[in-house]
Amino acid sequence: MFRNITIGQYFPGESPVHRLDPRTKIFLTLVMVVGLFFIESMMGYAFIAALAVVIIFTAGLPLRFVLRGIRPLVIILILTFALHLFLNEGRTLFTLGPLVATYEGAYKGLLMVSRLILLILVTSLLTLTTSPIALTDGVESFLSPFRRIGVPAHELAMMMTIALRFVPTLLEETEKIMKAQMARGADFETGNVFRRAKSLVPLLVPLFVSAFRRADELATAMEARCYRGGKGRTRMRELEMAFRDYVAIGVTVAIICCIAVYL
Amino acid sequence: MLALHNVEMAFDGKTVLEGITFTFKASDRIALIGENGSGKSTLIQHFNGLLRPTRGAVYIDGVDIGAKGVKMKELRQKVGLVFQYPEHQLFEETVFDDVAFGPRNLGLSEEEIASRVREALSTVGLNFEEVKGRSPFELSGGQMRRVAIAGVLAMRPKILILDEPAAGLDPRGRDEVLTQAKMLHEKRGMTVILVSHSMEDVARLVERIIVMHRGKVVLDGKTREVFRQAETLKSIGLGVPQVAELMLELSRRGKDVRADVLTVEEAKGELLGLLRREGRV
Repeated sequence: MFRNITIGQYFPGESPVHRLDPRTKIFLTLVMVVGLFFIESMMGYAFIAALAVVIIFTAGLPLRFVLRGIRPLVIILILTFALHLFLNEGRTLFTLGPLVATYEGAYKGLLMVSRLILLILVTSLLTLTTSPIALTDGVESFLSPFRRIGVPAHELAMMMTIALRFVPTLLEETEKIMKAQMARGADFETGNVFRRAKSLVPLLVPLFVSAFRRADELATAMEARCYRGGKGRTRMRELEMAFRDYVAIGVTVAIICCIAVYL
Repeated sequence: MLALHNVEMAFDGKTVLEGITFTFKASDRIALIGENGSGKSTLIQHFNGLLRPTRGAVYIDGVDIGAKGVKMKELRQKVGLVFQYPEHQLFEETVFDDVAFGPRNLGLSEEEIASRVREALSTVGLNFEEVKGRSPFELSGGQMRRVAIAGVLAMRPKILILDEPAAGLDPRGRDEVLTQAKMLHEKRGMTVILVSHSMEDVARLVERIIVMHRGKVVLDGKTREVFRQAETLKSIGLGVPQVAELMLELSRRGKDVRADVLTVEEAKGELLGLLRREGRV
């Protein structure tokens, strides 16, 4: 029942995009996200969409699989569009009771929806092409300059790795407990909001108990292998920026800047 | 009263169960045995409608449970399923409330619930007055498991399925849980289905064994008959209890002993008889 969640999923591959240094990909994702907030024209978004499609094809990702990530946010997208459509002043497009839809609102709404879709697309490209381990290595490397002012870079990265590692485990556990309670006549599917919220107690309590137990066991297992945090720790795979990384950064930043300035 | 007809199950195009057909009579005592990943845990979830077969049908008391209009609650009351490590499903503040969860879902009166909880807890060998007000989380592992089993018993199922009920318990806890399963069958006339990968545990407790391998039933028969198929059992990674193996080897070497013994006591009797006949005692 949880097979449909694609956000944050990794799509393994050997493409040039997959092989880029995770820091390059994180940095470029940030550049594109910032770019999306500066650009405010349909033409600009079209260019970014084209860029995203090029990256998707280079990475060998099935387009439909990537687009599926947008599905959970459809309601938010519709709501955004409706709000812009009715709450902007301008020439009347049509009226719906006391609500007045305007041309300006429709344009603004489309702009916002495009921006949101592109934001999802760009950020999911990062997680789709970067393995969780590479991703956390990248985050740790970005955070390490801030260690001097007390940011626990390694610990944050480790927490992220562990969190990602346990998502499937907890989903599996949820399904198991749900079935066990259903075998005792529990009903998770019918009733109003309050009843349904209440019916989650028999699911959430065991889930929390087992999550804490797992956390405890994992901590013991890590200490048994002499884990003492980030200080003096070396790694098996050092991150190294290659020529292709500089090329990717140069090209993408140039494209985004051009779009931002001219369109 | 529980019948499977040609049940097939596929996940993501992979076949997990194939052509499963058998019938349980009321008050049978059965063991479902198979190595890890043989499909036994998937199969038992078909018995109370938690999973639906891709093809084929499951009948409870002659009713196809996949048919429209079948009430799942009624079905799950009839077929009690105790999952592996059932203590992981405990959630209430007191033992009483946790055991009462099932009966409450059935919409019974509070008096009826109280009497069922009392009965279920005493069936699993716990002192009702002592444990009813305690938190299930402060009990020992073995006690927690028994509370969880009581939670299913309180629904008064006709068929009780226990998935690896002895896993992770110490020898005494294991004996207690398994003996109680046998008692439920003998005293209450419940149909008990034990799921296990260990022949050793279930051999002396059941009358019939169904052996599964890679999603198919490979052996199905009286306990002793199944044990005679030691070679088949070994070839699918199961093996037979050590005493049975000893006796099989002796009979293979031409000694006049019964090869289908199940317990140490039986083997002792056979061996003493043999020694006497050979004039060594």
